[in-house]
Amino acid sequence: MSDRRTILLIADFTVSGLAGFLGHDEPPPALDATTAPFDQVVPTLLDEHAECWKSNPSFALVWTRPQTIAKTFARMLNHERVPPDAVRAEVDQFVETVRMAARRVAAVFVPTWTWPSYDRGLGVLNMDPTIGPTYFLSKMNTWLAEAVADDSAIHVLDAGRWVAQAGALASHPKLWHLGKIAFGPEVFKHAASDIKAAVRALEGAARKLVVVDLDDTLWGGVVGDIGWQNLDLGGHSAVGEAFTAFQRALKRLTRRGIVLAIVSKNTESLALEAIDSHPEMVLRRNDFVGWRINWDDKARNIVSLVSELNLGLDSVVYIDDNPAERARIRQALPQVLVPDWPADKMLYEQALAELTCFDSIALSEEDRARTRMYVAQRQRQDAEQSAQSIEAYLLSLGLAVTVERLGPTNIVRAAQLLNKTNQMNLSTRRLSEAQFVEWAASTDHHVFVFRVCDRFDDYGLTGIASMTIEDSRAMIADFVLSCRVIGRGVEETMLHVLVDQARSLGLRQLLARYHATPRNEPCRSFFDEKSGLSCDADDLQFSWDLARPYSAPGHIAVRLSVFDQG
Amino acid sequence: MTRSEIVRSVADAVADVAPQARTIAETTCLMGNDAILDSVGFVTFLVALEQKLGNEIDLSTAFISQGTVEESQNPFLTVGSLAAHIELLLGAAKA
Repeated sequence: MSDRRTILLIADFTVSGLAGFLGHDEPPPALDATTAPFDQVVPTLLDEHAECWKSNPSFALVWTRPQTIAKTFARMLNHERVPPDAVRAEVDQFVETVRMAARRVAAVFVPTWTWPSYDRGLGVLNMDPTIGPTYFLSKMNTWLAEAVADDSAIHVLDAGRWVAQAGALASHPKLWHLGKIAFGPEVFKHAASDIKAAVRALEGAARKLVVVDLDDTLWGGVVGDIGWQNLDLGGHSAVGEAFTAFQRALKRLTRRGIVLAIVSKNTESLALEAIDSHPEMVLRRNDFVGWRINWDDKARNIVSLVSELNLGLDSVVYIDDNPAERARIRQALPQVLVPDWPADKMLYEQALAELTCFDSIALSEEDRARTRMYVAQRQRQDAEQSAQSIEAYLLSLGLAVTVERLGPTNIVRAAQLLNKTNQMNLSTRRLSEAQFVEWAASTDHHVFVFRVCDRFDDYGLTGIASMTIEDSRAMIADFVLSCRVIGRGVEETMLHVLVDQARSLGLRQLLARYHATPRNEPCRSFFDEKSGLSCDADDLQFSWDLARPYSAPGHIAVRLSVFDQG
Repeated sequence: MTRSEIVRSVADAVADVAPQARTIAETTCLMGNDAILDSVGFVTFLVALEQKLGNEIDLSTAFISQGTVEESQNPFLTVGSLAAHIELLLGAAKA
């Protein structure tokens, strides 16, 4: 996230005010914004040779007013009756021009259409299906969202929320008459925040773990002093109700792939008893992927916890009611996001809802099941500790690997995995969904994805191996494996599949070139010490003579799914 | 409205428009080569400031109608000079 990315702002109003908010490094990442010529939206989108595209922006923002995109909407504002199909046709035409721009950048952001908040329109007729401007505006936004739903490079952003949050400061006639500025700075501030959150989501930098304190954070009161029976939680107390609402909001996060953990200075047995026994607890033991409930330093506990979960500290959000504890974590672990937290407990749910660090581009089934997977991992670790040997442990897991080619049913999760895996990653190549699909479409490129399960759980899609055919050689382009299944023989299974496919194509050699990053040492270690591939020490290139097969580990059942296609 | 409250309103309005501004003082330039705002930012700032002051005075029209003035007499030059100008306008409105 250190390299500055550029974004081209294309609008039919003066949008330079947004650039300052995008360029600011809080919240990260700072984006260098350039602005397309004023009110030249369609020509800019159509002309790939236009001057403003020459800086090769990473992203584009296409922000327009509804009356300039749909002339029929402008007519309707003059109280003419217009056929809805004509409005829709203009929206579809606009989307086609946006699609053209989407080929030039990693992603295009399109804010929804809004109307100046000071204009009350037709009052009671605003939602009239024949002449209501609000009705047509909502239809236009729905058509826009539906039209781009199949294009993973175009993302519609909810500008209505920015306008609502800005309230009376959202727009002002003077701003328009003096500078053709459609929105006030409050709108631009909220827009920049959401655009940056979307960029972080595209780059796999969303936070994945929420670590919470217990006393006066998850429930009201100190459990060690008053006992779980007397905690302020639920019931008919306003504050107790607010705590259950906050817990519900945390539970909702788990359905988005965010996992929860506890770090609390408490007596573990008392805290767990409260979690298990309090009738109004929304979050129970199996909603947490881990905990450190003791009297040790919280920073040390967080480090220990993320290590156990195989996550980075930059995945963590820490929530604590105590300002001193928050300051301690900020100072000791600057990578951890420690949001300011309201003293008023009834505002906890709102404070959580305002965080932009969890945004993701898509939501897969694996995301929804992530907490269950971590809980199963905890049970697996218990099995490991009781096994006689590592071989006996691996055999006891009953591991099965299903291999698929990259396709519509797995691209969402595969792109997520490609973009956020750091440790077992040979090349650390980052591609958007659209770019990955385009790359895989070449006949010289082969992409396989790997689903892993064992007797405890289904890990879901956790591996990607791809190769490029060059003459008689296959060069591994991606070798990506989730840290949740590292070291169980899945790596060797992935090599087995690549070697098997390369041999079936009549190739002679499989090559793997390791590109070092600050975080992918585990990948080098695997190729160098465990893979069995020969290594050219000078440039860390590994090779396998395809005259020989490469066996899959005996403790893994390999299933080839729709493998002959492609 | 006291002078310090006016200065605070001016500084807050600058900060609303220019998130990159680290410190805003009475000497902070609003116009000219060292200006903290570009022309679009300046217009936005004036309208935001009018709103902060309860729309009691019309700064943007006053700015447009003032034409070219000597730099030393330009009330829009710095945070401090604008605060002094607003203080005068508010006083005149009450009188």
